[in-house]
Amino acid sequence: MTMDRFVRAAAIGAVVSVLSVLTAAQQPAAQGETWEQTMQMSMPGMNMPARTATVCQVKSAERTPPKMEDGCTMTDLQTSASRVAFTVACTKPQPMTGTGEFIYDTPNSYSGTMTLKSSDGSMVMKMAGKRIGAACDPGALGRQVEAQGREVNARLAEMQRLSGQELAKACAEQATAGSPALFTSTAGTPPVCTDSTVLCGNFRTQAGFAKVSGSDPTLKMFGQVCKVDPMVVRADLCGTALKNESLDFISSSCPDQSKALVQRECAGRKFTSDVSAKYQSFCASYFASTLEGGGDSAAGPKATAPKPADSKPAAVDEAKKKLRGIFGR
Amino acid sequence: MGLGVVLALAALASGAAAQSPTDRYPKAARSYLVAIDGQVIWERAGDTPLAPASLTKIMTALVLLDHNFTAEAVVTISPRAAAIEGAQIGLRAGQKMTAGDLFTAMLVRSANDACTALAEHDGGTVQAFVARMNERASAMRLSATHFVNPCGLDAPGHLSSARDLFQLTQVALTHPLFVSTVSLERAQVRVLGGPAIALTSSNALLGRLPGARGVKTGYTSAAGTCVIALAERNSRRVIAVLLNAPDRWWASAALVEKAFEQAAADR
Repeated sequence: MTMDRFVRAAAIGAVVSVLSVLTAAQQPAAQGETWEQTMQMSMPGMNMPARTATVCQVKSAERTPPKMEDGCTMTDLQTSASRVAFTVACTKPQPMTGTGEFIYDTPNSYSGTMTLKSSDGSMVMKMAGKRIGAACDPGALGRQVEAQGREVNARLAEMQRLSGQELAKACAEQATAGSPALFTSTAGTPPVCTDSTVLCGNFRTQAGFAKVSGSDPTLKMFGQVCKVDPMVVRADLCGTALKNESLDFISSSCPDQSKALVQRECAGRKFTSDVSAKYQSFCASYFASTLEGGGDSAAGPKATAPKPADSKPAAVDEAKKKLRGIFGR
Repeated sequence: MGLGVVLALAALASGAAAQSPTDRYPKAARSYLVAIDGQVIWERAGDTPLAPASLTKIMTALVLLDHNFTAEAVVTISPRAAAIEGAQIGLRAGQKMTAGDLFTAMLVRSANDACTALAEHDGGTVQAFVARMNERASAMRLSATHFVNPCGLDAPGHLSSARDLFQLTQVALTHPLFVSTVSLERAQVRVLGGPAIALTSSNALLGRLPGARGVKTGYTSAAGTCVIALAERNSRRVIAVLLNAPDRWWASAALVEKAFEQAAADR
């Protein structure tokens, strides 16, 4: 199997494997959950390095045959409480057949193997996944990576036609925009843009870091391009932000400092009276985390709900309320 | 070759995309809906009919504004209006106020005496006015909404939903008088020939939540605490509707903050 065909087969295999895992997810609720997936491909005489990615899967994926890439058909799908197996046949980009089997060792982990055969030889893919916890927006990471993929593809096609000067200008724009994709190498190909000085300089600022702090794949890219540990950059910027009380940055990018500030300024306080105006938005943003499915509402600001309807206020309080008009507050 | 590998990586990392609004904050309220610039992003039980409490007064205001509302018109307070239960500004039967001041008291302080007086003045009777409210709701296709009284008192069959209230609010916000009134933190109204009455808005978000512009609060024993929040920042508008929220102030402020964060991230 030639390199090009190998890569195309890998693309098909990756799509099939991901869709297979989605098919077999067994959670009933509608929100996403974060999984770490590792895949390693090998063929006679060639072993690709294992790739690990963090994905957000919809918890309520149904057990229906997945939608295949154009040219591929999945058949003989067998599912049980702990196992998914299937066969697949593709006509594009070349005729291939394959089998796959995934075993769900525990509700939080699985392992699987896929084998694809073509006239050029056979390829084996081993996959493993483990649930790493946090509730997530099922579409966010995928849209982000897909968007990055589409952007890279579009840019790659465009860059091939650009002159050196235009290329330099395009790279400068990407550096200013804080987009590292063109500065990274992909599957052994050299990066399109090579001067990362501006890109990395911006990454080390609050504004630049905040743009990407929520995206682990992008942080990893910056780490590779700028040869830094993104966590060290975060720690430096967050330390300064805490001293300067840059609340927006702390809220968006500094989980440890955020917790400390929450304890100091928000926890146990009423919205209407106890929170300093300066921290109102910050505390409200923190309170949102207690409203999510897995939030710790006990650590949140104090509730300001009125007394239950069946309580009987003292006569004096009742009179005050009538004077003030509490109904329909 | 690069194309295929990039697509493979994209496919490996992507989960099934959620296209419809998600219930991202299930603990915010029994029912809630959050929208950025008219687009709903998060919701929970958005179509479930629930008691709306004084959020009803948004429809009351809309019907008044649709019906040749004259702020200078003089309204006489009836015994029924003066005796109404719940939140009031303390009006007595026979007193007179302008319709504009009553409108302000109804929305700023959620005053039921002012609300009832306006309904009687406009409709002749409360029942006739409520019929107009239901006609308006039907014309707007608010399918989960039915009114029994103009002010939001608990009553069997007096119901609305977060989505209906959101749509109702959007329409009401096309009226400049409604927009300016619901954004008031404080106001002063006057009984004609009598003393001025200082009002403080029942909406705790005004003056505290950056960009807060309204809209309405509500509370009854059946409805729990409710609020419709409107905030505008950098030309973006967020509306959050919360019905029966354990803590409506922190919850609505939190949803608004997170909505603006999402708006900024999506830009």
